[in-house]
Amino acid sequence: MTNHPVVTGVEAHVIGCHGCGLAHSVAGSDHGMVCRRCGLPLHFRKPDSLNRTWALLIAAYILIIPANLLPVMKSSTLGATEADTIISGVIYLWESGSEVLSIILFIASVLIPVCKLLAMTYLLVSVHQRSLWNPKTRTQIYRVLEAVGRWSMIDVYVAAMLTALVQFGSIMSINVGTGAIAFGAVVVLTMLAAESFDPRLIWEATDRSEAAIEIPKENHAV
Amino acid sequence: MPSDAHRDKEFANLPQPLSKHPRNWSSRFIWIIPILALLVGIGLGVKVFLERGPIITISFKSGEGLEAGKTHVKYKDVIIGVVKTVDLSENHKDVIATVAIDKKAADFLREDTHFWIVKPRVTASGVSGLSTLVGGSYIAADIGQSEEFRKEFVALEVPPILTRDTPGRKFVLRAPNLGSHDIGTPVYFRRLTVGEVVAYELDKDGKGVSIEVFIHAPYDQYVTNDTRFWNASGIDVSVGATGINVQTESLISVLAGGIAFEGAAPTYDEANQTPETDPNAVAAQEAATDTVFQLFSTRELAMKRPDTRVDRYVIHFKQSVRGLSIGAPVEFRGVNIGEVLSIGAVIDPKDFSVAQPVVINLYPERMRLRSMANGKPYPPPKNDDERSQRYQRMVDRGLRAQLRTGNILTGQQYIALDFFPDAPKYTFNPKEKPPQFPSVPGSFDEVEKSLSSIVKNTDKLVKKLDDETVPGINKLIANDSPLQMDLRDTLRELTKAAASLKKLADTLDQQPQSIIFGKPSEETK
Repeated sequence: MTNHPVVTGVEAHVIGCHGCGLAHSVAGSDHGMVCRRCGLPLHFRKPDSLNRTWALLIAAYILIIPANLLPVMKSSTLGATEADTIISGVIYLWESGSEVLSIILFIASVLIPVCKLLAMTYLLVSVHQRSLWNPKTRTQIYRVLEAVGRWSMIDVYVAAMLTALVQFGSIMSINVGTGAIAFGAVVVLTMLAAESFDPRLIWEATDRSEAAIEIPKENHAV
Repeated sequence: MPSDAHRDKEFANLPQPLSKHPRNWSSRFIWIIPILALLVGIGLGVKVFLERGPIITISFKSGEGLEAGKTHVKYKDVIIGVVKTVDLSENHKDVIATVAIDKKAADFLREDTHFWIVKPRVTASGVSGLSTLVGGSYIAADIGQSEEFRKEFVALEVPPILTRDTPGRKFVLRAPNLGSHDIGTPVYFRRLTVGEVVAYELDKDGKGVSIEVFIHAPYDQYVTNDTRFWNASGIDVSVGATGINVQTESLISVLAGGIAFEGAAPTYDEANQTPETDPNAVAAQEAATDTVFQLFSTRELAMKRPDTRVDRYVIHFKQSVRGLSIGAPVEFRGVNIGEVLSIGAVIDPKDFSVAQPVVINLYPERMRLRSMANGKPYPPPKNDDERSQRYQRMVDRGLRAQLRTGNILTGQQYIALDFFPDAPKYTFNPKEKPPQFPSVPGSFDEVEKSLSSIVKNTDKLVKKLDDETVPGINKLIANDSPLQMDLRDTLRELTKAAASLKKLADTLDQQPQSIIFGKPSEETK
C-alpha cells in the first residue's frame, strides 16, 4: 500500500497537549483551550507563528548591521587602544598566520548567522507562497537551523571571557564593544525566530493541495 | 487498519479541552521587538555618524612606524585620531597616511597645524620619545592658530622643539655661519638655560644663516631692543694683543654649543649721563616677537658699544707689519678706538718703493662720547668736510699712526695713534678713498735708530780725542813746557822746607827748654 490517506491533527480536530501528551478532541477553534489534565494551553499550530517569526527575523536583520560594523572588542595595550570588529578580527587572525582559527571564526560569526537569516527568510517566504517544493528538505533545513543556533555565540563567548580574564590595568585590558551586544542580540533573535516558526506550516500547503501524497516508505516502515 | 469513520469516531471520544478565558495578547505585540531593534540600530548608527570626525591625509617621507588601524594621532598624549590606511603617493615619493580624526578634535585641522611622527630620539640635549619603544610610534600634533582649515597635511621631518602653547617668544638671530648650533641648542641668560634654538635656515642668497631661538616665559622679558646675543659654543681661546683669553659658558655648552644673551652693559660715562645729555640713549624696551638680532661670535664683540660712526683710513707702513693681525686694535694712548680691517703690500710703480697699506676702521664716537665742551657733549661733525677738518687739525698737531708691540711674548702688534710734535707736516688728500693717514716709524725702529746714532756719536768722540786731546796732552808734558819748570821750582822749595824742619827737630832734641825759654845765646854755649 503506497497511498495513505493523510490525516493531520487539524483535519481530525485533535490536539495533543505539549505538556502531558493527552490528546483532545477540539471541535472548533483552539482559542482559549487548555489541557484538561495539566492545564497547558492547547494549539493546533504554534500560535501566531509567521507573524512572530517575521518580527524576530526583521529585528535580527536590523541588528546584524551594527553587529558587523561596530567593534566587538576593545583591547588597550600600554595606552594604545585597538577596536576590533568581527571582520577585522578575522583578517587579523588570517594575517597573523592562524588561518584555521580565522576560518572557524569567519564561519561561526559571519557565515552562519547570515545563512541562518537567509534560510529562515526562505522558509517563511515558501510558507507564504504555499510552495510545494520538497517539503522534506525544507524541514531538514529547519532542523539544522534550530540545532546550529547556539553555536553562533562563539564570538560573544570569547569576548565575554577575555573581558573577564584580561584586566591588567594600564598594561593590557580588553573590553566588550557595542558590536558584541548587537551580535548577541542577533543570535538570540534568530534562535527565537527559529523557535517560533512552526515547521508543520511547510506541510500545510501539501495537505490542502492534495488529498493524499505519497508517504515515503521509510516513514511508513516505522 | 481501522476505517476513517471508525477513526473519526474514535477521535470524537477523546476528552474535550477546558475552556479558559484567554490572555488578550495582541498578535501585533511581537512587532515591538523589530521596532526596538530598529531604534537601537538607528541609535547606534547615528552615534557612529555623529562621532565620526573628518578624514585627513598626512604625507610622510617614510612610512616607518605607521601602521593602518593602529598608529594614533595624539595631542598632549591624548588620542585624537587613528591612521586608517598607509599608501604610497601617486609619484611614489611620499607615504600618504589617511587619518580619521575624532569629531571633537576637528578644529585641529588648521592651515598651520603640524603633524610629525614621534620616534625615540637621542640628542646632545636629551632623550625623548622613549615611550614609543614599547607603545609603538605615534603621530603627534601641534594645533595651529590660523583661521584657515584644510585636510591635507605634510608631516614635519623633525619634531618641533616646542609646541605652540609653550609660553615665550621667538627671535631671529643673524649670523655669518651656523657654528656648532643645532636645533635644541640651549640659550643662556646669565648662565641659566632659558631657551633653545628651534630652527635655522640658510639665507636665500647663501650669505648668512638665520637662527630662530625661542626664549621661554618669563625670561623673554629680558630680551630687549639692545640685547646682545653671542656664541657661547665650545671654548673660545683667542690670543690677542691683550694676551690669551679663554671664554666658556658652561660645561654642557662646551660639549653641545650654546648661545648666550645679555643686555648691553652701560659704560661708565653713560651710566652717569642723564637721558637729556646723551642723545643716543634709547630706553631699552622689550623686543617684539621675531625681532632680528645680530649673533656675535664672542661676548666681547657683542658687548662692544655699537659704533654708529665709522671712519675708514689707510696707513702706509714702510716697515714689516709682522705681528699685526686683522682685528688688531687701534689705540689712542691705550684707548681702543678702532680696529685693523685689512693688511696688504703695494709697490709704487713710480719709484718701486714698497709699502704695506693697512686699512683701519676708526670709531670716533668712542672718543667723542667722553669729550665735553662747555659742560655739554662735543657735537658730532655735521658733514664730511667738518670731519676731515677736525682730523686735519689733529694731524697738524702731530697725530700719527705708529706700529707698536703689544705683547713681547707673542709678538702681537697694534696700531697706536699718538702725538708726535716733531713729525713732518702732512695734509690729507681729499681725493683718496679711503684717505691715507700719516704714520711714523714704529717704536722698535726708533730704538734701532737711536742705537745707530749712539754708535755714530761714539765714533765722533774717539776721533775728537784722537785729533785734539792727545796733542794737547803731549804739549803739556814736554820738557820745556812751563808746567815742567814750575814743577821743578816747587820741588826745590819743598826740599828747602824739609831741611829747615830737620834743623828745627835737631834743636828741639838737644835743647828742649828752648821752646819755653828761647834759643840760648851763643855765649852760653
